[in-house]
Amino acid sequence: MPADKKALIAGVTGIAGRHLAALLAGSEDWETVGVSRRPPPAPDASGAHIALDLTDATACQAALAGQEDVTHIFYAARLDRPDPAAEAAINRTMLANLVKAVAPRAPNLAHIQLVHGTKWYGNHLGRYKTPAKESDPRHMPPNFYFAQHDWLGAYQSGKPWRRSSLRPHTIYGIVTGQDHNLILLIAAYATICKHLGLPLRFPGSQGRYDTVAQATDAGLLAKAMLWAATTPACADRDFNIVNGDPFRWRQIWPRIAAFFDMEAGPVQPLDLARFMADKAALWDEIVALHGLRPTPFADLGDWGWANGILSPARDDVSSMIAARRAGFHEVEDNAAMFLRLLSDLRAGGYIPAAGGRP
Amino acid sequence: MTAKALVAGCLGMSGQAMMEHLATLEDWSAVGISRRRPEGDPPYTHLALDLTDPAACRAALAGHGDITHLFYAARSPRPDPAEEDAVNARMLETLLDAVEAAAPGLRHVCLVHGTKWYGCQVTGFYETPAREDDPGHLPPNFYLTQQRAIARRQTGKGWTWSALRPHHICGASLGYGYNLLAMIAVYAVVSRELGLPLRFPGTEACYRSLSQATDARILAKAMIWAATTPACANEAFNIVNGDLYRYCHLWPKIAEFFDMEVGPVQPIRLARVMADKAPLWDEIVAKHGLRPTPFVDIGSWVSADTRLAYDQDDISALHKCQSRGFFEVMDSEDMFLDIFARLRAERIIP
Repeated sequence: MPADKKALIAGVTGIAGRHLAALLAGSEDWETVGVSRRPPPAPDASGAHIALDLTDATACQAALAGQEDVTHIFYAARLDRPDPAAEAAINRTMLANLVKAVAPRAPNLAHIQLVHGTKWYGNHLGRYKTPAKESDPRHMPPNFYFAQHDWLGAYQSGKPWRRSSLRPHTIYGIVTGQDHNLILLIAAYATICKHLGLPLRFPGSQGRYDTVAQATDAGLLAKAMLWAATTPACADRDFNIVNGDPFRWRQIWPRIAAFFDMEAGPVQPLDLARFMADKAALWDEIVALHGLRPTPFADLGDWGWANGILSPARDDVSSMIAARRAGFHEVEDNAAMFLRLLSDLRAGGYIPAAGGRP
Repeated sequence: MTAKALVAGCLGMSGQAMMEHLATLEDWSAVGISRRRPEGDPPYTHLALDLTDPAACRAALAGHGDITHLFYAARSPRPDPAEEDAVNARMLETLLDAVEAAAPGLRHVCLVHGTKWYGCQVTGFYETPAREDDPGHLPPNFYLTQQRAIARRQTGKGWTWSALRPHHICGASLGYGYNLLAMIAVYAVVSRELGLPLRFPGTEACYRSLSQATDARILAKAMIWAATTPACANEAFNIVNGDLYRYCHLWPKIAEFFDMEVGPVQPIRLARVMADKAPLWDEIVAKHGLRPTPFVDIGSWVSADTRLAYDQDDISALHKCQSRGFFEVMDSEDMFLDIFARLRAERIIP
């Protein structure tokens, strides 16, 4: 029987898009087409791919002309810009270019979902109200999430399809070539520290080490995306999506050190962007020494972004009541998630096998 | 399946909610035990019983051989922890002796414990989020003794046990001394009567730290879940509402509920400043034609002081119960306002 649902995933090479594509690839009910500027790394069995620059409206109209059978759009693409107003404008334009190229031609379109995050609450600005609830007032705009949410809400008026948005917090999963990928950065940082004979010191702040943190496993997020896009009770609603319980880094860090068979050192705040800038040659040496899968140092991620996650001394807490009440019953244990992902990185040859240093 | 529940401590906050929940369940009948007799005629069989009296327990339960589930929410608080440990251990053992002797069809014993397991309210700090397998604090702690005793006792038996660890059980019932919400409501009403704004009477740090609560109705559902879910056999579970809150966000909503201005934090010892407010409370009761609640029945202001001065985060991990399927949740801020509304509807407050 042919699939009766077709997902168009924008940002399919990103951490959220990739995991959703993998989830849907295992379902007979779904056909998928992924959209991103760059093609996904081969081998990739998770559906058709269209290489597309979403900032180009004409290219979108041309490339997406054949997508009349799309039933669900999952929008997880983003373009970072230093200026928030410019970032809001370009991201709204990208969303509009895609939606206007698909929605008017897809008679069976049922749902458009935006993958947003806790930046909705001003998580990137500093202290914000926690636990954050979906109904909390917005921070002072601009914020590209607001721009997209408002545009989509207005565009939806009078149309039969529904929408939703999800707000994960620090997505953890295995992808390379993405800036925002904390697990790979932590694994590389630990590997480099071990190579240099250093203990595994927490490179963020003491305040971050001790306050309440939270995480969203990419696999759990993919299940939430599917759930929200196909559950009537989720229509036109926004949901925080995190693993369940919060954690403190002081509880996780010693277990990460134990995974690498390293001593957990004390907190030592370090500007990773500056101190990792000269480590590309060392990384290549480690890759050669251990016969690792050759991941270019630049593809590990953005060290400055990791600093931004590991440094702020404030609680990060999202209320999960809305999603739970609407029926989302997936949970992930934080410590188990870290150890599973590190094991996967090891099994995938991204980091050296267990054992001492050479 | 038909089941018969025996609820020990049926007049406490969790016991009352459990009796109400059981009344809504088909296939369940219920017997309640407490030292005191309930006011009026409860819609269930009630046994007034001193759990330290073996002969009385055996005699009272002789006619209830069809009990299948024991929900144990009784407790006897004592100032000395070793004495508290000993008396509460004896109460549980005494009741279990009687239940096992009378009820061959016993399937489950569910203990209602709490985050005191981790040292909450007992010590100055405990690691959070607290997980069920975290080491407990230095004994004595009667929860630890009871759980060890029931695990020992269960070996080789046809029944299983569970232990639930709620935190700050909230409901609209009065009379057991620990109803913080009733105390907050009365504190608000008294403040308003005196023309004062609603000031948070605890500490600034408590006002800003993360708090959690367990609605007694959620706990009642968890008790049934733990008692009837095979994956819960012989395990302990944290049970809280499923979110966290901060008083600094909640307090303005409470003030709005009582139509009051929000004042700044002003740490006071409620036990001292409320000590002389009984006549004022009686005046308020008379003026508004309230149901006459003796001031002493509102609650223990010392317990309110302890709770509102706890300067650390209170967080229980829910992964264990959620990964086994328990997803009853409630927004805690909504819970406060809902319980105030119920206190108002029952004319306990104006």
